[in-house]
Amino acid sequence: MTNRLPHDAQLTESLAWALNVSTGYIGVTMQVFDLLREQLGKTVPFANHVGVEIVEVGEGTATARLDEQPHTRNHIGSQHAGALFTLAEAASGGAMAGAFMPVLMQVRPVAAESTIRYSKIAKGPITARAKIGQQASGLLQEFEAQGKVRFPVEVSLADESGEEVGAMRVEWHVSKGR
Amino acid sequence: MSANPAHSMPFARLVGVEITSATSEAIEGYLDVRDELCTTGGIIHGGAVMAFADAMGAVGAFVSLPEGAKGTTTIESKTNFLGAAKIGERVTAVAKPLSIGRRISVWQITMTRTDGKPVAVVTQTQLVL
Repeated sequence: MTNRLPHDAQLTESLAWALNVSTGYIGVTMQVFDLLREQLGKTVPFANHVGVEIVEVGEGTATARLDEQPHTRNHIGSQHAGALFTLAEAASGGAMAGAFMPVLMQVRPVAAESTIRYSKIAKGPITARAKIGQQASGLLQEFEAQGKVRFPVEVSLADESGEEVGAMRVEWHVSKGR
Repeated sequence: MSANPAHSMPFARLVGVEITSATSEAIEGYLDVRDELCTTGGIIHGGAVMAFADAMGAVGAFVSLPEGAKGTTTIESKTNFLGAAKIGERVTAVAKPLSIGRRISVWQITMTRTDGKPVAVVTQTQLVL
C-alpha cells in the first residue's frame, strides 16, 4: 500500500532511545516530538524531492511548509495540485505519527483515501496544518483494544496572507505491524 | 505544447510523467517508479500517485477545452489508494472523461501495474479558466 510512514526499521536509534525514555516530563516529550519531526523530514524521499519541510509535530497535530520553486509549479505558474497534495499528505502523516508516538514502533499506518479541494490559486510559500479528527488518547485506546483503528486527518492549506487555498481529508488505517 | 504535454507543467516533469496518447476520449501515460518518488520501504508515495493522476486529468481537460477558453485548473481530487508499486515498476494510467461541460469537466484516472494489479483510482474535477 502507499503512504507508509516510518516505523520500526526506519526509525533511527536516537528516536528509539528517546521513545523508550519518554517518561511524560514535558521537556523530554518535546524533545521526542522534535526528533520525530526531524526523522519524518529525512525518511520520505518524495517529500524531500519536492522540498516539503516538516515544521512542527505535536500530539495529533503537525505543520508542514512548501516554498514555491520553479519545479513545484504548474502550467499556469502557481503551485501544482500534486505538490500541494504532497505537502498536505506530509502534514497529515506528521499528525498521525504524533498521535501514535507512544507506540510508534508497533504501528503500520496506511493512508487509504485522500480528498483534496483547491479553493484558490496557490502562490508563494504554502503552509499545511493538520489535525486528527479525535483525541489521540481515544485512538490509542482503540488501537490497543482492537489492534487497528481508522480515523480522518483534516488538513488546511494557507498562503502567506493566511488565506486558505485548499483543504484535504485523509483516511488513515493504522494497524499493529506484522 | 511539447511532444510530451506533461512537460508543460514543471511539477509533472519533476515527477517524470510520460503521456503516450491524448485524445478527447482518453489520455494514456506511464510513470516509472524511481527512488525519489517513494515513501519509506521503496514504494511509490501517494503524492507522486496523485501528481501523476493530476497531470493526466489536466491534459484531458486541456484537450477538451471549449473554444476560447484559456486553460484549466484542478478544483477537487479524490484518490483511493488500492495497492503498492515498488521501485523499478511501471505504473500505467488511463484518464477518461465522466462529464465534459462548458465550466467544468470530471475525470476518472485508473492506475495499474504492468501485472494488472490496481494502484489507485482518482476522480477529479477540472475548472475551465
